[in-house]
Formats: sequence, C-alpha cells, structure tokens
Amino acid sequence: MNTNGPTYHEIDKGLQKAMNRRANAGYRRFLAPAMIIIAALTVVPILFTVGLSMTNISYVSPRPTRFIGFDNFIQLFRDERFLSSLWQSAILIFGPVAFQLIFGFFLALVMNERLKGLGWLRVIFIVPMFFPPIVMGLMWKVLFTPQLGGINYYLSLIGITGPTWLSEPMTAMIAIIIAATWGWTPFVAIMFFTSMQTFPRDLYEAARIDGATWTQQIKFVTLPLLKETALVVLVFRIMEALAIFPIIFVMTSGGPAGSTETVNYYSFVSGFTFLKVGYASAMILTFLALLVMLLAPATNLLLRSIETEGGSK
Amino acid sequence: MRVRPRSVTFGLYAFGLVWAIVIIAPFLWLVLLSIKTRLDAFANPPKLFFTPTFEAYFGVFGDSAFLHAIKNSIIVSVGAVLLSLLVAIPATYGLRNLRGPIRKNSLLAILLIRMVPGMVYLLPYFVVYNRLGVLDTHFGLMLVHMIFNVPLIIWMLTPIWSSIPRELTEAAKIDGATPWETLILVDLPLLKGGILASSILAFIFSWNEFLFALILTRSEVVTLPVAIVNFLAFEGTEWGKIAAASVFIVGPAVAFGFLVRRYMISGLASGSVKG
Repeated sequence: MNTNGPTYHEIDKGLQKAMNRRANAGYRRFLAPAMIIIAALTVVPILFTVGLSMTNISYVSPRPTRFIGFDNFIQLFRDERFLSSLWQSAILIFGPVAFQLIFGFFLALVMNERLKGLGWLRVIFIVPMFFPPIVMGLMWKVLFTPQLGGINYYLSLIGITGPTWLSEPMTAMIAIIIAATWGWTPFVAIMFFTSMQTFPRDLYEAARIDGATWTQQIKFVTLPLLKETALVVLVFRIMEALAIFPIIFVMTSGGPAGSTETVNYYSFVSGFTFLKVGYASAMILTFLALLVMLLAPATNLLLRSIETEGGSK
Repeated sequence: MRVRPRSVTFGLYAFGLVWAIVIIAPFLWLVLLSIKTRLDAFANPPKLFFTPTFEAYFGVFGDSAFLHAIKNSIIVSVGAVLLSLLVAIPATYGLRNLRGPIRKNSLLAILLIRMVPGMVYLLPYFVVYNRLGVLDTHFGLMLVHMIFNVPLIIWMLTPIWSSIPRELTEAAKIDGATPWETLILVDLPLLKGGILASSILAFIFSWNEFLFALILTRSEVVTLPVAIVNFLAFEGTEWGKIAAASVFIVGPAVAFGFLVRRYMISGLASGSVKG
C-alpha cells in the first residue's frame, strides 16, 4: 500500500495550491499596494516606537539623544505612578466591559423579543454609538457637576446626598465607568442582537416541545449559542476599552491626584506634557504587550469570526 | 410562538423603557443647557421649563475659531474618507477574488492593526511629523485617519462584496474584460450603496476623532472636537457655549449614523472608536 510516491491526498492538496496560485495571479496586485500602504502607516510607526523606547529622547532635556537599551522598561517597573495606572486601567477596562456585556445582553433580548410598540427603541438604543467620545465626556461632566447637572438634585429627591462626584477618587472612577457603560453598551447589544437573529428557530421549538419554559430556553439555547459571539465581543471591548481616553481627558484629566489615570493617559502625559517621548514609548509598548498576552489565546476565535463575518465564499 | 410569561414581558418592557430614558435624558439635559441663560443653568432645583435663549448658539457661530474648526473638520473628514477609499476599494477587490490562506491572513492582519490602541501610533507620528514639519496640516491628519478608516471600509465592504454573485464577474472575464475593467464596470456599480454606507461611517469616525487631532494640530487645522475642548480651557465657565457646540457636533454624526445603521454591523465588528 505504502509507496514512495505522493499520496492521493498530497496530490490533491498540491493541485489545489497550484489552482489557487493561478486564480490569484491577477488579483495580488490589487491587494499588494494597499497592504504596503497600510504597513507603512502602521507597522513602520510601531517599529519606530520600539526604537524610540530604547532611547532617552526627550524634548526638554538638553542631553543628546542616545541608545539606552532597556533602561526605560526597567525604570517603568520602579515607577509607582505607572504601577498604579496599570491597576486603574484594569478597573476602567473590566468594570465598564462587565456592565456593557450584562446590559448589552438584556438590550439584545428586548430587541430580539419583538415587543409590541417598542420598535422605535431599536433606533434610540444605538444613538451613543455615533456620539463623539469627547461630547460624551463633556455631557457626563456636566451631569456630574453639582448644580449644573441634575444628578445630585434627583438623588436628593430619593433621600440620597450626592457626592461631589468628580473630585473624589472613588466616585470619579464610578462616574467614568457610568459614562463608558452608556457609550459602549449599544455596540455590545447590536452584536448580540445580530447574532441572536441567526439562531435556528427549530431549536427553540424543540426545547418548547420538551417542556422548557421561556427562562430555560434562554438559559439552555440562547446563552450557549451566544457564547462565541460573547467572546469575540469581549476581545473587541477589552482591546478598545481605553478608547475612553477623551472621556477621562475632559471629565477628570486623570485626577483627582492621578486616581483615574490609565496607562495610555499616563503615557500621553509623559510624552506630551513632560515631553519624555522615549519613556512614554516604553510605557505604551509595555501596555500593548500586556494586552496582547491577555488576548493571544483568542486569536483562533477571531480567525473563525472572519470566516463567518468576513464571508468566506 | 414562544410562551413568554407575563412577568418576563413586563420586565423586558421596563428594562427597554428605562434604558431609553437613560439614553435620552443626558443628551436632553445638554440640549436644554444650550438654550438656558447662565442663571437658569445653575438654578436649584433645576429648571425644566424656562424661556429659551439662543444666545449660546449665536456666540458659537460668531466665533471665528469655531467656524474655522468646522471647515477643518469637513476638509479632514472628507479627505480622509476619499484617501481611504482609494486604498480600500482595490484591496477589497483583491481580497474578494483571492483564494486560499492569503485572504484570511490579510483580513486578520487588517483587523489586528485596527485593534492597536491609538496611543501607540501617536508618539511616532508626533516625532516624525515634528521633524518633517507636517504638524498642523490637513494632509498629515488625513493620513493618520487612514489607519482606522481603511480597515473599517475593507471590513464593511468584504461581506457586501461577497454577496454579489460571482457569475457576473466571471461573465465579464469570459467576454475578455481585464480585472480593472471588471472592477470599474461590473463590481463598482453594484457596490454603490455599500461604498456610500462605509464612506459615511468612516466620515463619522473621522469627524469624532479627538486624540490625533489634539496632538497633531496646533492652530491652523484644529478640528471640532479639539475646538470644543479649547472652549473648556479658555472660557471655563461658558457652559452654554460648550453645550451648544456639543449639540452641533453630535448632530451630523447621529444623523448620518441613522442613514447607515443597517450596514454598520460588520463595520463595527472591526472596532468602534479609536482613542
């Protein structure tokens, strides 16, 4: 049986490759220029940042710029402000993302159940998706400012004395989490809703015939089917969670006393206020590396989502 | 079809309505603030009924810096979209017709690029722009916006393009059309809607973009999101004007958003707003 020649399977694979190559021949030159431009705009700057991170480049220091190896990275882990910004980043990433997933799920359910008279809600729900983040920040800054925003007045109606939100570390953090939840829950809801629309109806029918109640159908049909989408959404949201930069910028500027400063915010301050560009580069790269390590196990998942969402036909 | 207990139905209605209020009320507050006098703005208890004044709007549109920012925002957003289309359309055409791993790997690479936090790109662009003297130029800002707009458009067009039957392009090929001719004469006319939708979404992201505009502009090319922060910095207590300017910026973004909401799912899958 086992001859030295290629097996049928190998020939088939080789043939497939050759056919792909022939079919692809005319189309590579459409993709190639775009990929080169994209790489020039992204990969090159990232590599340049790696270079910057190993120098002491600074726009205020009179010293000449020179190569200092990993000194910036070593210094980072002795920098208390960096370490606390890491911790605050974790809170400001996972806090809002958790709320977004929970509320997003229930919003998707509301949309999916086609409740009578609530069709217009679908339009309202997505409004924050188009909001400029800077306006979100300003809006919530107004709302949380005593006198100017109504939040404390309405809290006082139910007997709660509102804090001076943005000037205390704890409540400033909560205010930002609320703003971020408001802004990015619609994205999660829409992703969940779109996914729910593709679930086969007969699965629910079968569950119903087996005597499953509505809650059981959600628990044993909807939730398991939604797991993959939820993971993809989670990856997206974690990766993009610190896009709340503009919100922090206008609401607290990282304060009070640096208590709402995230890593990207601290990197921004180091780079553009203290003008220590080398140090800021090392900081943001470290953060990127941490994110990648956290999310690397999900790469396969993203690949699979490409097959479905990107249309593999 | 499905039996939903009354209590669940009630719960869903309640949640939906409460969330609608949560969405609308904060923005409504901002709109009201924009038409209040200073005195009304700080009234306690807050006034929901008052004599509206449009003074803040007159103030905002009488401000030459703000008008200049409107112009800049339009130039940069439109320019960024056009540049991005120029790169993204041929790329998507290539991807649509390529087979094998190259297609999948390219799509993944494009997606990952878009997911990199914006701050990573900000430092090198600042250093290079500073050296080349392209800080505070329209083109410099457009180029940076391509980082998120090109992947967005590719990701939005890919599924739409896949839904065009291959037979059409195959027929053109058999008739002797070159790939370029096929793209321009067959594919593009069929894709008009999708291209328009992805352009609008890309426009919104450029219009809303704050971080790059903050650092890569100085005075000449300041866009609206930065101009509004300047209101905050220089006229700290003019909340009416800040609110009016906010309402003005949100307007086009949300209006355009409604137009393309059907198309945006796959576009949004490739990431929301950079920061």
